[in-house]
Amino acid sequence: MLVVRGLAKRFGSVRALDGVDLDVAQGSLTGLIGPNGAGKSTAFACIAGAEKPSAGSVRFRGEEIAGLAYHRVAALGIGRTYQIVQTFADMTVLEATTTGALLHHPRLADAIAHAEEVLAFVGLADMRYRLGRALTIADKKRLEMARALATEPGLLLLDEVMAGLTPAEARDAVDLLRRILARGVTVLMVEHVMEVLMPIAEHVVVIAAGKTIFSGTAADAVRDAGVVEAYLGSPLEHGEIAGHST
Amino acid sequence: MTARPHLFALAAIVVAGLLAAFGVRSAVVLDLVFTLLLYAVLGQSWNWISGYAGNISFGHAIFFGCGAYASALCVTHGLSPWLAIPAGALAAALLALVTGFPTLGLRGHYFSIATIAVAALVEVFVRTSPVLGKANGFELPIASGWAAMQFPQKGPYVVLALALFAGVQLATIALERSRLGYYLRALRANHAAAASVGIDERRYKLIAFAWSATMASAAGVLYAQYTLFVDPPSTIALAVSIDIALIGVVGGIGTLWGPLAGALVYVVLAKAVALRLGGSGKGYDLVIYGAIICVIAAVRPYGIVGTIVDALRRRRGATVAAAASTAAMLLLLASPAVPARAAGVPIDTALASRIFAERQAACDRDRARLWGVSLCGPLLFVDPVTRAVVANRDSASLHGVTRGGVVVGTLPASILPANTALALDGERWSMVMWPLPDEPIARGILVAHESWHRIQDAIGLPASNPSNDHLDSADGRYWLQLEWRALARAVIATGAPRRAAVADALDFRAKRVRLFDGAAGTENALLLNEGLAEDTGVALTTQPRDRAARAVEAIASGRRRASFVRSFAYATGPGYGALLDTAAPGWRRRLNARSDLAAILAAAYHVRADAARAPVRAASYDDGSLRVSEDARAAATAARLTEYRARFVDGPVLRIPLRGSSYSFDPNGVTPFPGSGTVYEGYAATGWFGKLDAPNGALVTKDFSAVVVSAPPDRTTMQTATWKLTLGAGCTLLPDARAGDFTVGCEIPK
Repeated sequence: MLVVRGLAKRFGSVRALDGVDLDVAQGSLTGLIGPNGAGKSTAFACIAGAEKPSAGSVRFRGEEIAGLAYHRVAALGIGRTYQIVQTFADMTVLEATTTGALLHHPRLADAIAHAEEVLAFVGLADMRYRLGRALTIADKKRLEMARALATEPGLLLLDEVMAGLTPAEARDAVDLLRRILARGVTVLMVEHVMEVLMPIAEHVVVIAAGKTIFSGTAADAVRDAGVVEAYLGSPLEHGEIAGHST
Repeated sequence: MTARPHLFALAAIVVAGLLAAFGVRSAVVLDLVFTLLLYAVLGQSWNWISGYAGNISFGHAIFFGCGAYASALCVTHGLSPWLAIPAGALAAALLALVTGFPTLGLRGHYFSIATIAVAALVEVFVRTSPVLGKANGFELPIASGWAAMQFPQKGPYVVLALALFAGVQLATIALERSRLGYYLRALRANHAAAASVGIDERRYKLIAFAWSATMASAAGVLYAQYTLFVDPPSTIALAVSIDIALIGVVGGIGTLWGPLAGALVYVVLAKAVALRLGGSGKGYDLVIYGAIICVIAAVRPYGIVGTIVDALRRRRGATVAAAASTAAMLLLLASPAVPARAAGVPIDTALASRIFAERQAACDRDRARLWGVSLCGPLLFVDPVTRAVVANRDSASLHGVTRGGVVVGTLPASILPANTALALDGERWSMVMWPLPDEPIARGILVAHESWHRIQDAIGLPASNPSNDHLDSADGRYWLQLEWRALARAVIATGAPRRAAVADALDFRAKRVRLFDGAAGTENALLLNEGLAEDTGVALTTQPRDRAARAVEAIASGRRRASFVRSFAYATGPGYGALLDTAAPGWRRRLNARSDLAAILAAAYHVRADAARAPVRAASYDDGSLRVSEDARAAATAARLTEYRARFVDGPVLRIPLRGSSYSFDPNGVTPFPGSGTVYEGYAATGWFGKLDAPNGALVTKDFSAVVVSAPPDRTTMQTATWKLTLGAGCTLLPDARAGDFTVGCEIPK
């Protein structure tokens, strides 16, 4: 569904990305991991269209999308959330979700109906009249997912949706991810918390210093010497990665 | 969120507005309502791009200007002003698209700076473009009717402004319930997040900007037809842009009712400042406004309506805000009458400009045919309370500034405000007190009347104001009213019946002036002065087919006056004029200061006045009731004068020197008290001594130096059955020269 080859991004003389390769299969949940500063969020931004890549190719459903305007990429079916939540602060939960739904439902009544359905799906229906800025972090993240899901994306890019959540909230989030996958939405998620990623990600891509250094299953990733070295420079203790967050 | 409460509120405002448009006669109130609606439309227009979309514009006046200039260009090129609505909208939308394309993506204050720059460029372009009238702008030709979008009264303008306001509000209600509205709000909140759900920022903001410009342009078209004057400072200047932005911010950005609330605050503030500070208050409203902006920016960034909405949660808040706006609007409709009477009415320069243009049009029609010279010359309107002046030209002692094609200044302290002609800096001027009558014909007559006073010396008919006190006597009043009845009959008849009625009128006059020594001369002298002035007013303002009706109306209104001593000339003049115009065209040009108008009328109709015929002819005009009512009136006056003599002369009395105190009275309760002064009912005075209320009447002495009421029983009584006194600090009642009389003394003379 998504094929990324040789993705590079330079900010002046800084090479944030320097050859990222990435494959996301239709219907799968793929994890994108890497140490701080590895370029995960930049890779995300380049795939989603928020940043224009300096070089490389991004093909979505067989179509080259590298360098397209941000909103065009979204219209083609790539939804996303942000590492630092970006809500529409003075909109209610329902209004923000409706804004997403308007992409494919130009009539407001249809869009609201669709948004209600999405809110029920993510479990925010009771908060539909709350303002975005009045929500807890966990609910803000869920709202971002609802807003992105409302655009009916083929591919959903999730940027650290687990970060900052309590164990109970994280369990709810994993449950939601399973149900999103069950809807037929393909997911690519950046995550720091390997522990929650491992049981749900069929496939993991690890990048470090702007390059893809591993591609395979999550179980193989924690045993891969290159990955371990990239993270700590030494064999990795399970808890250290699991507890880390940005 | 349902639109229903908003639609109800809008319907209530439309109904209130229509009631005002058709029910309110006061031009001042209608001007306020019109201004309020126009500003609300401009505020809403700004709100689309700056409120909902979040791009704060400080150049919005250029779109307003598109409409105003389209209007001016259309009518000066002989096209319908209605055409200016699509033409101005097209120009404004194109201007919005061209300037918005490169700038709408700019964030924060960069966009605002860009709008200022664009507006400055547009202003320079307009000020140097001969097609757009350069810095002088346009004066629009006077017309009337719906096709010309111009009306002599303000009601239809309010209807049009109301229609525009309703249209803009409905469009905004629809916006809030549309993809465009959601997308604009999303873009304002977070443009990156908005893009992530597929929103094309430039596309939707350009759409909003074009619509916003279109609305402002429509307001501009209406404004130009209302003021009939378009120039850069009144339409496209930065100050106008800032006013528009202030209204949007104060009311609450991105809210449906915010612009109306902001406009309400703006209009009320401007009016309050003008009332309190008069012409000297220029700029104070901006200071107060600036302070309000600071407070709002600091504590309530969502403005008035945003605060209400926040406080009452979103759904009910809308209802409450809408209801509050309606209530405030109704309050505004009810309130201005009271302070206006107490503190004077600020002169509406747009209306003044219109009246100047009306008079010029009348002079153009006349082409000096009436008197051999043009009646148009220097003319000023003065607010008698604040002494604020709006004039059609400047003069050194007015210290005026030009605004919207008129001169705004102050009347020199040495000149008493009045309806009259006067010398100012060596030139003859006409002066008329503001407010003028709303009814355009009455207004035209008044202005032309005072215009004639300006030229009367030049045409050899200098003002003469002899006393005609005999017209307050029962006989004087009786024969005068018979003359009026005959005159009215003559004016509406033709042929032989007219000639007979003219003869009757002249007989009644002859009978009357024979009863009183010198009356023939004093009546004729006042007729040559005020009679000719009033007739000129009617002749210049009224269509020939309406002359007779106006002359009859002048007689009818003269008859309603409490005293005929002066008013007889105003009532009689138009009748004489109408009769002479048909029988002796050109009669005015043959007049001089010694002309006898009654003799001229007699000659024109080949009749001879005969006092002896009068008692016989009286039967045709009076069934006896006129004599009865005049005798009754004379008896009542005598009784009242006796009572007044006991109260105010024989005493004992309380006499308070006025020393410049201000006073008011009921204009329908004024009785001349020969030898002593004038008795005023409903009298109240405020001044150095404190405050006196005398609802049952007080005597003001002949020389206006003191007010007299009946004496209190002792020095400590401050209230009797007929008056109430509130003394100032340090003031007491003191015995006066005559035993039992009192006066007021204060320790520290103020």
